Amino acid sequence: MNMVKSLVFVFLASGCGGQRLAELKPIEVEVEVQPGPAATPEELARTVPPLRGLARRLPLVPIELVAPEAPADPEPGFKDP
Amino acid sequence: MPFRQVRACFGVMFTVLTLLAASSVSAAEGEHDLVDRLSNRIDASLCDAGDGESLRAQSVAATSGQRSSVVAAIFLDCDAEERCRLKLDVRQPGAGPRLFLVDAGAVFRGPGDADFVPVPNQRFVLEHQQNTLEIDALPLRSGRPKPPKNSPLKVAASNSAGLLTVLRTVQRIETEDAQRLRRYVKEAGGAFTVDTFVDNEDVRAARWMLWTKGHDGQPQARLPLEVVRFALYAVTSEYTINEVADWFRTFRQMDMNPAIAAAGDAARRVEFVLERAGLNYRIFSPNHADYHFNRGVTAYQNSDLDGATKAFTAAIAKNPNLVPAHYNLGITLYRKGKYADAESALQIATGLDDAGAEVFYNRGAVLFRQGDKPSAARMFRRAIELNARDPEAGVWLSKADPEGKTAVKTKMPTKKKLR
Repeated sequence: MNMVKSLVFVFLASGCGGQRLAELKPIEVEVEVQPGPAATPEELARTVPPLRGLARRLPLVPIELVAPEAPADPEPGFKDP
Repeated sequence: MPFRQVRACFGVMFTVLTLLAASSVSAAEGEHDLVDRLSNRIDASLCDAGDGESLRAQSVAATSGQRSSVVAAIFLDCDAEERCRLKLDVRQPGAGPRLFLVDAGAVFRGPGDADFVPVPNQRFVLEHQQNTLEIDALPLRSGRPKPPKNSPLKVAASNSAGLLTVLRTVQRIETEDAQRLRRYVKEAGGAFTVDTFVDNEDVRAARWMLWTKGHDGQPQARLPLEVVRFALYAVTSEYTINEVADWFRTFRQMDMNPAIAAAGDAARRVEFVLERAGLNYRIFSPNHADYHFNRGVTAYQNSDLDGATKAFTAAIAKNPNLVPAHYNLGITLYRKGKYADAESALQIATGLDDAGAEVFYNRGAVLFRQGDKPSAARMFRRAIELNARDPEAGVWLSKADPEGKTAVKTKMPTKKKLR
């Protein structure tokens, strides 16, 4: 019975603690508005193929970035009284 | 091995595992029993729901042994350079001492959307049941109005992976990295300086840090506040070196040239932090192609085609393999009516490894416009190979080559007669 309790404890404990990555809300990608110069009349009339839009700005933060775990606590420099 | 001995071995194993599990339940990995982290010690009365996008609800401090809680927060002031101070009331059940660590994650919210981020790694010793701390903080975004002095603050949790990453990277640099960098630091006349003939990345980082004596007598490192500030603003306010120079002109009343020089000096250190954080530091300063590329996109969106051409050309000069730069240059030249130059730029792009379907499609569009329909058809065909669901490539392929003359003919293997 004690062995069974221990097993259950181990399985429960393995799921606890630490930051759960699922808590972070995924960063939504905004659809970039690209005003820029308008299409030519030939593109609008479809006598020539319409040009595809500009490649977007390169982001500082990768879309799939997940924040790292917090670093370990420092030693307090004093003992538990 | 007799069954009794086998059973005993398993019993020992499970006991050890149980003890390990028990210890992990009482303190999460990396947490010290005598250290309280600001981000998870906020009392329910201070928790703000956030806006659901950049900020989410701050979780309430769970009651846990002798751990402290932040029960009140007040905005004190910001100086002329937007170095701000907040006052926290921190209560603990026992008499202490406990170490209170300002870590990453909590955002203090004042009236009028005035948000503040505490500077990470500040440490305080809680010696009484009621403690008042003054902590250094930075505005979450530069240039926003500040609340009146003594305004009460609420606390939300940052939802930004970029912000958390930058602040935790600052924490790591000042603790874990600093332990490695200490070897280059010597004390002389009460001050710490980097004293070595070695020149490597570690030594350069050590020279950027501010070294003081810690409570254990060892050199302790802090990043200069302006480096933390600009790394923070790079994530929250899209700062690049240009905005940094503007900041120096605004908040330190510098003239243009000194501000640019100061920004250049700061940029090296900020890029060090951003690179350590795993972010695309190359968009920050003109030393890199990505910076010029982004400038080109902004110019194009403002219909400044000459500016865009110049910027994309500069990006290509820094990194000739940057496919999006050639691609965007081609589009820009097309919009200027320079179809031959546009085709040349897109030809280079299609020759690079990362060229996607849209690159081939656009080159096909330019060739079609120039009247070279067979070459256009070959480009549309390649676009379809790369993306079978390309909506337009198939349509224009049939217009450029209605009889399929440019299709690559594959020889069917002839059947051998069996004898």
